[in-house]
Amino acid sequence: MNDTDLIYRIIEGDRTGFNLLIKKWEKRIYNFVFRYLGSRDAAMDVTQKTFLNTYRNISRLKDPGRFRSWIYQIASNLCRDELGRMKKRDMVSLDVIQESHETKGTRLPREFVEKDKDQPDEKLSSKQLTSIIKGALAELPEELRMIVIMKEYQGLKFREIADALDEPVSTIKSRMYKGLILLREIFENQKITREVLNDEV
Amino acid sequence: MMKCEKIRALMMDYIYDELQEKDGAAFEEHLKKCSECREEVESLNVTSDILQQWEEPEHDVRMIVVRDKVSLFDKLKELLNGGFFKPNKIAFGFTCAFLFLFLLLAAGNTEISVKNGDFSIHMALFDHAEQPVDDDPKSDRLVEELVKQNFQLVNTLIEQSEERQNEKLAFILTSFKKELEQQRYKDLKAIQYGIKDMQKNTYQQIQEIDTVLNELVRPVDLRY
Repeated sequence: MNDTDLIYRIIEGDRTGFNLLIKKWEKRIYNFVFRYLGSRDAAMDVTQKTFLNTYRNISRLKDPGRFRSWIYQIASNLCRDELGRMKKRDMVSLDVIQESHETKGTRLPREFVEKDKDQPDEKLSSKQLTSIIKGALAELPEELRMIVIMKEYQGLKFREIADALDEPVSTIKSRMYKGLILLREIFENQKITREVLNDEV
Repeated sequence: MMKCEKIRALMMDYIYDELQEKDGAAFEEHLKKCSECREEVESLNVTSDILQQWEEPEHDVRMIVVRDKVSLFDKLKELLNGGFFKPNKIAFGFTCAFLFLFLLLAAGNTEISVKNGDFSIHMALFDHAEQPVDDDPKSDRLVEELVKQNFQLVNTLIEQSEERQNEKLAFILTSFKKELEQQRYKDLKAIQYGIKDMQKNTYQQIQEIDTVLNELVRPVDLRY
């Protein structure tokens, strides 16, 4: 059963049909929120809220074919709210923010820089690479970061991102372009090139 | 041929496979000839590939799901089927209960004493100071007799109290009866007096009327 049929079923009153929808989407939404917020607990919380809001408002969804961008719209709004709250509480436990602080100046975790000096040929561990990617993403302005995460990790179409974020498709595309250029610059500065990638892969 | 400017506008669509078919051929044609645009596409592809190295988090995600209202019977059935009575769980429960009881008994009968500077802790499951229970049949009989006597005593007590209550009730009833009779007698007397008075009054009134009538009749007679 596809999402559209499932949504019609839920709107008609089949409450338990929502469980199937949750099962189908929980991991995807959680991953999106986790990549954006960087904290596991906050991601759990926001994902739960996303489904709660989805459940409450699903009968108002006029076009069930829009569900994909609609649920991301709910999740991204909640993400932004949560990030605002986290910043207000000055929760530095936020992985992404923490790493961006650490990498300020050198833009690289200290251990990695030292290793890089001594043994330039040493391969990058996937953990180090992940931490560099997280740090690079954290340096992007929020509106670019959200789009990059939606495109790169959630595989949404530009039109769907535009629908979720309520912006013109052209704006989304140009922001994505901007985001990629900024990331390319950061990676180049940290000497993460195709070669390093090939070594890693 | 497409201009570089147009190519840049379609760059994102190309990289993420969203380019419309009609633009695809022209785009690739341009890339073949323009090294600058080609390099741009390649480097952005690398950036995208690097980003893909951040693997999906392997977290256990389980959201709270919507549940239909379940009847009590169904819940019970679910409990019965759903492993609440699994043998190992029962065993675990019994073990826990036994251990708890054991500890409770031990703690309850722990003796800590300091005698002549010697500190000692004594733990036991059952209290040793308790008198041994007498299982003698004689005592059983004694207890039985005692119970019997007790029973009889209680019975007689109940009977006595019942008798006392009956007597009281009879006394109250007779006194009430007496009072009623006296009252009745008084009432009858009063009525008798009343009637006598009335008789007297009526007799007097009749006499008065007679005299008045006589006086009235006499003048009439004189006229005729």
